Amino acid sequence: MSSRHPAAIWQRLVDETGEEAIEAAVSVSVARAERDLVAAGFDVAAERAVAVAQIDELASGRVVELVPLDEVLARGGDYLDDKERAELHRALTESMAEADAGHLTDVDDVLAEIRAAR
Amino acid sequence: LAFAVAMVVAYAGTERLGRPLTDDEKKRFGALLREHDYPGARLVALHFAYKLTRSIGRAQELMGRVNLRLVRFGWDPAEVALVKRLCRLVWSEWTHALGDTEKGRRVEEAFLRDFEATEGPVTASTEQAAVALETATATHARAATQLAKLRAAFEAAGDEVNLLVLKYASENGINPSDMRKMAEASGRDVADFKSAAERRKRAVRKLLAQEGGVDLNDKES
Repeated sequence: MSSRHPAAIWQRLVDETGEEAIEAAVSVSVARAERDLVAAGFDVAAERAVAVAQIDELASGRVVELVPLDEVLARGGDYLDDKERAELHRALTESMAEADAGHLTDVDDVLAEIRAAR
Repeated sequence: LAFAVAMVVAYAGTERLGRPLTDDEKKRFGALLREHDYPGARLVALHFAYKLTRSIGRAQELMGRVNLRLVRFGWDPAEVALVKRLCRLVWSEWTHALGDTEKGRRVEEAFLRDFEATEGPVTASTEQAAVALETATATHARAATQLAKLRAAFEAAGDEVNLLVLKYASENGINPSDMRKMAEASGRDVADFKSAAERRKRAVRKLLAQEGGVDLNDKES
């Protein structure tokens, strides 16, 4: 693309504007970012877990599967076919019934089980 | 005499490699990210993404795209810190998403489907190429519109220097950031272009903010 092309000129203007915004962004400490994100409603522990999981997936030599949200939503919010979705809903209904009946499992136990399985 | 040598190994990215990562490359990339506190850097980048989008969902989606770009285009620790690399990708993805069209999304989604599992080289199908052409047309139209708005703002403000910047950029192909060349072409002082750059960045930031429906001028406390 020629440097005189409107798209090229606009991109250069966006890039020069971005450098300032990027400098400001990187000057934020991790602790400050965490505080602000929590205040905004983010689950920072979950966000950290996502990052750690990405590293673990790479370190294990497995494929990292990242899926764009638009695509997921366009498929009804998941990658399930009708049969699989019906099974999921049935499992969820059973799970809610178990919870209503007081058959609950501590989340720490679940996490420990998952970690042990990795 | 013993001394340690820190090995800084750049990650080339699947785009440059032209193939999916081998298991060994994945492991080395994972180790590199761990060594440079990827979880912390990602939180700072997420903070930036949220500042730009003002939406938890959109910020998370933006970070998903940033992650893909990092894998695809790589990162050289000797060139730039991980946190800056991620924030640059956030800015790039956000500014491109502002001009996103339905056609653009189709191209992106097709690319992501090809790429997400890194199971094979990304190849542009005929349909993708056709859609990419339509997208390029939309990109051109968007850029022309933004430049027209910018020119109108400079005219309204009587900002002669920035009008010259746009003129030399479009007629002579001079980079708007190249103040020395702008000064040479116009016969004006470089200092004129330095102060004009600040006004221009504010104006561009305002246009981007209008497009994204956010306020980019709020200062960090």
